[in-house]
Amino acid sequence: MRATTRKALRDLRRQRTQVGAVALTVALGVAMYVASAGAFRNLSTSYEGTYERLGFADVVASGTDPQALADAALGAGAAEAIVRTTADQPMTIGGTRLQGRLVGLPADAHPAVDDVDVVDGDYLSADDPDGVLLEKHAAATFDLGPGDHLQVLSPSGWHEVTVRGVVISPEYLWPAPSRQQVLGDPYGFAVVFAAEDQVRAWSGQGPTEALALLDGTDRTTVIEAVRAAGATDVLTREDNPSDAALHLDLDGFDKMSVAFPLLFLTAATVAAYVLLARRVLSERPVIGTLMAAGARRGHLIWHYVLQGLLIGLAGSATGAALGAPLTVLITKEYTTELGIPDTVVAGHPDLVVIGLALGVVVGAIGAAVPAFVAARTVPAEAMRNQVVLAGQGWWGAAVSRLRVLPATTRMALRDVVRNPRRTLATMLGSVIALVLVLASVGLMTSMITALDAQYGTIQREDAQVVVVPGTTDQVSASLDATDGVTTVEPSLVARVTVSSGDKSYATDLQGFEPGTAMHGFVDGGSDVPLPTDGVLAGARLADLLDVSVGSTLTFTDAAGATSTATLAGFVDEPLGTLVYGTRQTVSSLVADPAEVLLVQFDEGADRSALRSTITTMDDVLAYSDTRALLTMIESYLGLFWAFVGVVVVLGGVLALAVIEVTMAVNLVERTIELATLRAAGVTVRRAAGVLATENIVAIIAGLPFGLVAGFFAARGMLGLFNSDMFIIELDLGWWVLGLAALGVLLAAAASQIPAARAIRRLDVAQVVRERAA
Amino acid sequence: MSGRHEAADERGHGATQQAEHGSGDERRPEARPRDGGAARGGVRLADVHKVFGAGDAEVRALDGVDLELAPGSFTVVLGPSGSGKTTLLNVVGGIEQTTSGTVVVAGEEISGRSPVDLAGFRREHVGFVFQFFNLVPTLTARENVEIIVELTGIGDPGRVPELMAQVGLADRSEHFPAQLSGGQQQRVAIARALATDPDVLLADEPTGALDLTTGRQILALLLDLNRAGRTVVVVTHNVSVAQIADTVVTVVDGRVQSVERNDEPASAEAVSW
Ligand SMILES: Nc1ncnc2c1ncn2[C@@H]1O[C@H](COP(=O)(O)OP(=O)(O)OP(=O)(O)O)[C@@H](O)[C@H]1O
Ligand SMILES: [Mg+2]
Repeated sequence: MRATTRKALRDLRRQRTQVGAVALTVALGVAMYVASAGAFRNLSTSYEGTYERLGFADVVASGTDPQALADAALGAGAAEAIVRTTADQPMTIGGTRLQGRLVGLPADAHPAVDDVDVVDGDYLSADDPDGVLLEKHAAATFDLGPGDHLQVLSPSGWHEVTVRGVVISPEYLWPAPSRQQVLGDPYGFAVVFAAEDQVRAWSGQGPTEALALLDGTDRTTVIEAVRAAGATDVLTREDNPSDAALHLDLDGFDKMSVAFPLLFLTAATVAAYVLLARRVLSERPVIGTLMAAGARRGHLIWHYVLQGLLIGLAGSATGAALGAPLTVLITKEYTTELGIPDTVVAGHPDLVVIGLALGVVVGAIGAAVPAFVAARTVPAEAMRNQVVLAGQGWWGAAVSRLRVLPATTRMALRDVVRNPRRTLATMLGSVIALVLVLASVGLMTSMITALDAQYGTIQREDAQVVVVPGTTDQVSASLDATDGVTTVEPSLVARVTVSSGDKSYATDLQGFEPGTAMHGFVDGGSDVPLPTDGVLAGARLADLLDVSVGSTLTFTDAAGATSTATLAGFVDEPLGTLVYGTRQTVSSLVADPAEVLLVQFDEGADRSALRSTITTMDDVLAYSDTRALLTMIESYLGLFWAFVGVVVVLGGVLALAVIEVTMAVNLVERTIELATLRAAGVTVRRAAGVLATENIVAIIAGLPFGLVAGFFAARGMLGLFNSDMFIIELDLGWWVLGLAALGVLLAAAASQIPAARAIRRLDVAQVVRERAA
Repeated sequence: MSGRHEAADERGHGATQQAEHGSGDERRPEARPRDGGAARGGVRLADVHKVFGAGDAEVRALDGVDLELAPGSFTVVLGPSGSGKTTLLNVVGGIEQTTSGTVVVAGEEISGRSPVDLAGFRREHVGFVFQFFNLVPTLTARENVEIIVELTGIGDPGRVPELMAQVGLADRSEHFPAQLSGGQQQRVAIARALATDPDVLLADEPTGALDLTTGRQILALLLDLNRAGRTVVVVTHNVSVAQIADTVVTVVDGRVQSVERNDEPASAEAVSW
């Protein structure tokens, strides 16, 4: 082995704790990358596998003559096209009334498009017209299986059907009735598949839509063909609410696979830089000697870059090895949680290669500057045994005057300024530590604050009750008379497309009572009243439509009618970007909005009893418990919390590691000084005290910078995840900042203990031989 | 190998004079008998100036130095602290550029060369020994020599054991610096300086950190190396060291005050401090 390689390896072994800490940081970054990017791919492949197997429709067109649309699609080159009936009909399951969706299937054979996967029981049979298939999520929510019963409202009244089988549908991998209701009360929605003839009979309509499966055919051609054939509404796969929800989720994985590795690997790069830069500084006399002998710069640069590469490679190899099983774990957890039937768990050698390369890049970048500094060392450094320190200036003079302090403390305080590079490196350690901690904790606190705000101050109702149009007053009276209900307020909801200029955005328009008690409108932290004239909109709309307060918004309702209103103000809401007005404003803007009663319950009311009571009232069409929604969000956030929890812990561990690196490097650098002190009979406690004082002063000096940098890192991180559906503002309370700073300080203080131990173990004789002459 | 005298004559100069008058016409025989190997190296400085800083802070470290050292000579440079000894050595070794003047070392004109060029010159012709040994603590004695061969691409790694033997450390090759005495470490440093087989060996206070006995051993080693034909220049505060030189240069205030020839140089044993 070459002497340079041997030097590199032995130098790294000498600093194994710090090298280990940097490598660990790289390993975590790489593991996160490999795991999340791999999970992203596996999940995409899993969905695609299910879509492929069950023939998930590429185009869904509705219109008065679906058969003509199907023919047009086939004519335009679609591989398959079928017609069927989809209808929303109230249902009663286990005593609960809810929004049901009926979907027609061939009675004897599986459909060519949008097939279902029977996971329990049997497929439909022509011999059993009242036997239906229940979508898996509803079956799980209501705990139903083959042989259980449920009721469907038909023109002739409630009709009892029997569950023949439980199925998975590509259209409802995530059970969402519509795009605006991606997150809904699971007790409020169920999908039932039945024989096409039965669906037509129960809903009194049909067929309602044509489904087309493309096989390499140009989608635009097919869409144009069905439009030409009279389609009023054409939806593509991406418009499917389930697919959209899953993509939102997957995008999250995709962004995580960038954001967190970026954070960790940046921290690792800086840590590697600090480690090697400090060492190059301490090796200056040796490097000067090598330069005096005419060492080639390229060789010297390579020698230090090699060390960075070795650290990076050690980290990324570990990270890649961890990432691969982690990919499998995440994929399995996730697909099980969401009930994706086809779990594709593939290895991704390319990701492993990229992961390894990332570590190498981190090492190389971290080592680059120190390596070039090393190669620029002038031979004259060989004549200096120690790095010459700059003068002390006003600081030194000021410290000297502090006679009350012990000489060792004064020495430490002076050293902080006398060796600015070391102080800066230590400050950098405290900055990285804070960035890691704040970015991960910030994600968590912001998420908690956002959910609190959404379900505490903004949405104040306990339940939403959708009623038959025109029955608001009657149902309202019945609700008022119900035990456990404290307040009832009428509201209106309409699905609209808001536009301004050539930009448009599809969302919900909600109308409340003036001075409503059911919804809090908050802008920049203060309450804003609901305007009697004009509308309020979620803050994101400003960017989405390029509008500002005072702009005129155009509303297009489901029937295609348009009207305009003035944008009176913005509101900050974490979930969704909606538009609000008074009930009067809303009814003037759209025809036939849905009538929704907002209800508040007594503290401690029996929610499941209230659900049964309210859903079985006359004229109640649908019911959604806000708390159940929150519970559901939290259950699906479980995976996310687990992830954030791990990140917070890792962030903390890494912060410790970075501080340890900085402290240990300081120790190594000052070996001669400390050995000299020890040789002169200074106690370990005193010697350690000098070092600790200097370190802590530098760490404290770094805190303000770290807090600012951490704040921006956390904000950048959250920004990545924000969209029109999730607008999470950074919430880092003063207490979080204070605790993080205190934590870093404590970590720094704690790492003085091993430092003191190292000083005790210091082999004074060896140091004096090696370093001095 | 051809005889030393012929080789010395080819280069055109014997050991030397000369300060103020600048010319090196007077030829002198070498003072010390050779044990084989051609005389190598040779140094000529003409009106060399080295100025540090500017304005009020200006320091004339070398202020018109003319000096000629014969190939194969053993020179000791004396002078008070701050007189310019180290600067002179650095200029000769090409680790410091001159402000003006001509510097020819081992037949190469090096004044006005770029730092990269100078590094190449050092690789080919010069070996440095410093007061502080500056060994790599994580490499053994042998590896400390090998690393120079690697980093310069000059010299033969196979010759390293021979070098270790030459500095008397054959049995200590596998020891780390912390396991060696100061004198042994300085021997390693000398072996390291020899790794590129330089023509000129420059030593700045090589015994400054050593006790008398160890210091003598190091000087004896330097004499041996000189005997093999290398030009050796030793900078020291210690007047006593001058006894072993064939040429003694005294520097004062950046000028060469005197160049004395020593017809009967003593052995290292005679040195004391
Ligand atoms: N890099 C530099 N910048 C400014 N002045 C310098 C520099 N290097 C040397 N000098 C000055 O040049 C003069 C000669 O320095 P040099 O190191 O050559 O002295 P020296 O004779 O070797 O002294 P000593 O015996 O103390 O080692 C001194 O006054 C010194 O302060
Ligand atoms: Mg000197």
